[in-house]
Amino acid sequence: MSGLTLLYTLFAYVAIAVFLVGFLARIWKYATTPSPLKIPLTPAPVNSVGVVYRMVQEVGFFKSLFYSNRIIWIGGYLMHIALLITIVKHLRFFFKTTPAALAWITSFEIYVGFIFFGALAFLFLMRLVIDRTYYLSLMQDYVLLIFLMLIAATGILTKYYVRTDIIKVKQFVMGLVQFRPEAIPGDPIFIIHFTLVLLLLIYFPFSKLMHSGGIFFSPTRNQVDDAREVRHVTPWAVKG
Amino acid sequence: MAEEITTTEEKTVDKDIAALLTSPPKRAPEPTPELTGKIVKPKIVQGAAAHYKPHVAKPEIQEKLGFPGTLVENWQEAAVAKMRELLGKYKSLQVYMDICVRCGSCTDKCQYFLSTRDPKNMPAGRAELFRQVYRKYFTTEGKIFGKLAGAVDFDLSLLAEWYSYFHQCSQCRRCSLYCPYGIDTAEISMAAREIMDSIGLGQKYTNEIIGKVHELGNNLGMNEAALRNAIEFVEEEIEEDTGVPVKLPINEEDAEVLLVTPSADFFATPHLESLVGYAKVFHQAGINWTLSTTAAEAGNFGMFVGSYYHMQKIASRIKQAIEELRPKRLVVGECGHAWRVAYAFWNTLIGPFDMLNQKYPRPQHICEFTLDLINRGALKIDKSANDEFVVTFHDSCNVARATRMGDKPGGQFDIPRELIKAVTNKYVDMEYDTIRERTFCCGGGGGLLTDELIDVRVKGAMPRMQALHNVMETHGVNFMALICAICKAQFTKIMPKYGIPMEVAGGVHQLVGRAIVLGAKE
Amino acid sequence: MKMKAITAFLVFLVILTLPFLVSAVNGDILSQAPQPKLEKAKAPAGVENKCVEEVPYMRANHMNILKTARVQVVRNGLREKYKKYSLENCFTCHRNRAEFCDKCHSYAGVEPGCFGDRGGCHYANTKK
Ligand code: SF4
Ligand code: SF4
Ligand code: SF4
Repeated sequence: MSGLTLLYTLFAYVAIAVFLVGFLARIWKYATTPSPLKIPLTPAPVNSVGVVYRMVQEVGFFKSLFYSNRIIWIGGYLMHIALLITIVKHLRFFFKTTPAALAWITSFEIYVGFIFFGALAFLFLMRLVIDRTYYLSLMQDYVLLIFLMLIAATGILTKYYVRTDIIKVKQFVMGLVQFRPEAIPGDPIFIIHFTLVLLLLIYFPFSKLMHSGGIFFSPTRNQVDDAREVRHVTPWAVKG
Repeated sequence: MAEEITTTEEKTVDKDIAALLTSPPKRAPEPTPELTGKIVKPKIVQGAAAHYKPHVAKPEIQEKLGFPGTLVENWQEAAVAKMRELLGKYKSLQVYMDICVRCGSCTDKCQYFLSTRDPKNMPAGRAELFRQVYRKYFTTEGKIFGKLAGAVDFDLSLLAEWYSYFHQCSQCRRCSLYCPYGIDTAEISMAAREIMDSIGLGQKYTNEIIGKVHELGNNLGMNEAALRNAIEFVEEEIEEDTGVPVKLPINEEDAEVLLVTPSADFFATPHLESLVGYAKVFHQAGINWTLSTTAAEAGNFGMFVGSYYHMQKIASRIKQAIEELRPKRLVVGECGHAWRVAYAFWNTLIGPFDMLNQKYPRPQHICEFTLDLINRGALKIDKSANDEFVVTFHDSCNVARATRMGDKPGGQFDIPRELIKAVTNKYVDMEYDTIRERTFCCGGGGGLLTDELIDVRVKGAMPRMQALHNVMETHGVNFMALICAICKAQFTKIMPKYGIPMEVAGGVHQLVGRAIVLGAKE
Repeated sequence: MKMKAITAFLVFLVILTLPFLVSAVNGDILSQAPQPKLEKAKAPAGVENKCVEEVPYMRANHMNILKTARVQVVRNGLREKYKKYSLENCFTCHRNRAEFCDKCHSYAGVEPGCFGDRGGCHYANTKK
């Protein structure tokens, strides 16, 4: 095993561990912190089926954002959809036999990387030109956008311009997944791409990216509007 | 010697409060915004509203509520400890601290930002004041990168901003409606106020009132004799007006209905007119009802300061009244935040209501109650009594975004409108973006209804005034119906500043009361 | 309440660790990439018996070469210029699709664009 392989194998495991433990610890915290009072933002669904429907609309279509800021919605929605497709397409590197559905999706060439990059650039621009978001934006907002743009750019390079040998990539990734380390492909663009992704994984649980899990725990969106019908009881707030 | 040391320490702390209140110094009030009929997104002006600060509660008031009398010496530590406690107690706070992505979609939704243009009055800008401290003491990001990552020491100047901007939020939840994650800045401002109270920095207006309710049972601080007098006066008025002796029973045991209503209904104008309306409804429907001197206040300012303890303590008076008087049903009068506490929190705070009749909502809103009677034909209505009015309706934010009426989501919008249409002939809605769940706050909610914040209140009312102005111009509207005691007090005070006569504001049951034909039942 | 929290936690856990879980359940711990088999034709005398470009380059870029050659020959008529890259030429060594192309292609989850399965052109010799 070369030094580089050893380094990246360790790096990858550390990153994955930090991400998993960090993310799940956050989720555990969100899930276990009590919600002493009923605070759904009304009009709200009156049963849990309705809440699922509301969540699907929020998570799947960014409904609130759609009604509050159409421009950011376009940028944000494109970005997230492109990200989702990209992640799905990458999944074939993680399963030895690629599930048929995945192969099918992968076979469509829709230049999703470019859409992803474009949407990120658009969001970056919006941060700068709207005075209210310019005021709000912190260093980490810009850093994250730049990070993601770099990941997208290197990904685009390996796919369209400086092709990398994806069999080697898959071998390397499968080696990680099955705990049998394999040599890392020596292609520098791939290594940069991979490094950025690992760094992002490490930063993820400590960042605003936690909105991905956190949205499911937002009381104003996930509570049933049944305060009069069902008594809402949580440990610290109601004794008995 | 020891004594001397304590006095100097106290003086430093007092000086701290003084410094905090005078930075930046007061400015001359700005002119009332012009009525153009448009709500425009302003360019930001930093610090434009930094000088608005409510009076600080005196030590006596604070101590009565169990808070430190004045800013404690180690207030910074104490505040961080309190923050830790609240983060563990409220999922909303914990989740909302982490997941804001600063997308900006809430930024142009708050009435206080739209009118003051101060970026710290943008919901996410306001919450940022809280998050700066959160990052500093609770996040890895903040501990490593500090200021670079937006983590800020909780120092006196930040506390000054807290005191200023968390008292320019009426906890109306409009921001939550428009946030992709539902981040509710009201929850954050409640937590901020609870933290400030816990270190001895309370707001005079709210805390004084909480003290009064605990002591006398109502926000206005009137005793039982005063209350009985007021009610007798109302009875006389009605009889004079209509010739019918309509009674307002007090402390009747075993009545069908216990009515809990904001105490302003007993004294203030135009609140009183709604009380007359309720009384006529009960009288005409022949329903045996009562008021209670124990529960002579539906309002619950405990919510404004985020204090679960005080909210529960205030609500427990209702429970006590139910136990004393054994009514079968519980009905709540016109009040926005009170209805939120009643609808969404009572069951948790003082429930379960097993002793009340299960066939009816527990509690029931007076609009639900009256509309139901009208629909069943129990009241004879003469709509033409309101013909001099072209009516519009202001959705109170607490009712609109935190509660429901009836069985269906959105009943809180439809039921009051149906009720208004059942007693008047001419009704128009205001602009789409300013009604129903999208409604703007009146500008005086959340503990802001105090004289020293009058500038903030005038500005906060701006979006509503623009929308009202439009329907007045285009449809000749001359009555804006309300279902909130604070809205009524706020609008009657603010509207004249915009050149709109205060008589334009009134209660929904004011209209109902006028239209009911007394004694006409077969 | 506690139950809800645990369920939510487990859902996230399973989604995030899916690749590891599937591997573990499959017992499929072989990570060796498949070895494509060549059935080389004998090179005519005097011709070097090797691919048109270096093997590592071909691994990463063969699809670009094929595509460029296709476009240039079929659309622009440059048959002579791109003769070196003609698919026929490839087939002299890479005869068996199942043993050669598909080995890696199914491993990587990428459908080859040459053949008839999904809109490609070539049927002859190339049935699975
Ligand atoms: S809309 Fe929500 S996520 Fe966006 S800036 Fe406002 S609070 Fe943050
Ligand atoms: S709750 Fe209302 S007043 Fe407070 S920040 Fe949000 S929109 Fe503004
Ligand atoms: S006074 Fe009325 S509009 Fe204002 S906060 Fe209360 S309910 Fe909302």
